[in-house]
Amino acid sequence: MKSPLYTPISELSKHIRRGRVSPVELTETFLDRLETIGPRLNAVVTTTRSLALKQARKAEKEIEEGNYRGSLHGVPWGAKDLLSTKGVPTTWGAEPFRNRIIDTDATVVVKLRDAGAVLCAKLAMIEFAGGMGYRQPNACLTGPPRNPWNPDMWTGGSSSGSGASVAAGLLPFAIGSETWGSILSPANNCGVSGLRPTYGRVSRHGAMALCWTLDKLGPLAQTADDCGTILQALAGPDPNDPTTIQKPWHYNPRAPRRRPCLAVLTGVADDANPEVRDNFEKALKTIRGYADIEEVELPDLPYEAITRTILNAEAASAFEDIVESGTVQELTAPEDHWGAYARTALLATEYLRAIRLRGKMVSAVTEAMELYDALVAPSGKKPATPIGEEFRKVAPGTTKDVMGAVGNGCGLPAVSVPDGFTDAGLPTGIQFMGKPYGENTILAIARAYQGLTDWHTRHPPDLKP
Amino acid sequence: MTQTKREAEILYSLVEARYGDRCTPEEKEEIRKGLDAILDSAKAMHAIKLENRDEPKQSFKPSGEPE
Repeated sequence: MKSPLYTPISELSKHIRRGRVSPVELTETFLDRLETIGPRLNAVVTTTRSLALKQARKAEKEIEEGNYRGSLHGVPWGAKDLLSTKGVPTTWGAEPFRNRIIDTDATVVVKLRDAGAVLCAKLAMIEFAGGMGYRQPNACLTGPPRNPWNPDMWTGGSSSGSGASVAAGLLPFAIGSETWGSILSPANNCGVSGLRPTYGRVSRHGAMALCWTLDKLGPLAQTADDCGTILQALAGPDPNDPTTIQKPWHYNPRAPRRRPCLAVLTGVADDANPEVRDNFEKALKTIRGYADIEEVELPDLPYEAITRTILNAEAASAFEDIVESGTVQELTAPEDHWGAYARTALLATEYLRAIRLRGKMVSAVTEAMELYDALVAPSGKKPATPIGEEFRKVAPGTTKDVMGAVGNGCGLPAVSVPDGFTDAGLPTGIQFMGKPYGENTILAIARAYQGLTDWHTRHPPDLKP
Repeated sequence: MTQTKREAEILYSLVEARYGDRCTPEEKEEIRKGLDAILDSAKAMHAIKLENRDEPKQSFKPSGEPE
């Protein structure tokens, strides 16, 4: 076969199964890239070489003996460094935890190991997944995460290393997490596919908690199809996480039986960067070839205020010991030293008001989306920003992001795929946000888009094999 | 002084009492802006009428199984 770099899992797994690609050689290839290119991009916290080779040898032997476990068997992957891993440091991206080992495996780590996947690295992330209110990229113990398309630009966050490692061909796939934007943002900035599952689809057991009722774990990969394959391995009930959806989930890679009907929120791209808006309009034109698109308005509710208040209150509690103890003073980003203080004054009644209004938000969004398979919007309002610049100059929550507030506040799934490039060669993305439990629907819509475009087949020229 | 400003001052006093010794004057100014954002969110949420029956979208279950 041609180089395995940037080869979608759907194709790579066929070669592995037939013995044309050795999991051990494949793992060595990706470990070498993680160790050479990874540090240049500040994408990797820990390379798990000995563990990876042990898992790869086991996979190779099992496959040779005819015990093939499925599409992820022998496929290397990386974990955002908020997923606990036995015997390997789990830093949460934070300098004070540089050498901290949480001696348990997160459920997703166990599930991927059971699927035969090969853990090659713990990947860089924004300290505490951005939970301290960072405003600029230099907020990781590994340094500012550099974008594979242009190292002077940012990857997005907080699953920064997960996005960068897939875009740079350091790994076939990575797991990230999203509380508000942390999968879609790096998928957008790095030009890869990223799936935020429905809240509860994937167990959070063993993952750092930023906000218990908003946190989700999901994959970043070359294609939407790969995201579906990976999600199948991750999804399912877990007694260690009572919020998990009790029904198992199976990926359906078939095309939908009917023409999808999508909706665009009125004015959703009006305040986007002109190139982002232009690429989005072109993408809509392509999508109209296989789906109907209508415009829809959401009822007037304070979506951002509701979701932000929930995030503020739960994060204030989740990190109370870290804030009280003064550990925050040791963080990389200066603004993270004090960024968590204001929300400790948030009143309990305001939090309760937010989670009562959450019910109204869920009802309003359910009704508005009733006739549609998905909402479609730019994945981000702007492409990657410079590595040395603040990407927001104000406190979190004061910028407009209805899609993020609604999607995360209502626990809706969304998939982001690349939809073009700026004149400066930076990728932009489009997101399809579905109804709860509607991952198969949005993945089918995204797959159809990727079947008609080649944005996802383009890779950073300096990093090609 | 407006009601919102008064509330912001009270909340700031709490933060100042807890963490004031850790912050520079510039950081304290940023914390004030953060409190303003929190209060703006609260104000936006208070514009929506809630009824007594509007429960939190969060469930509690006693442990164990019913008989």
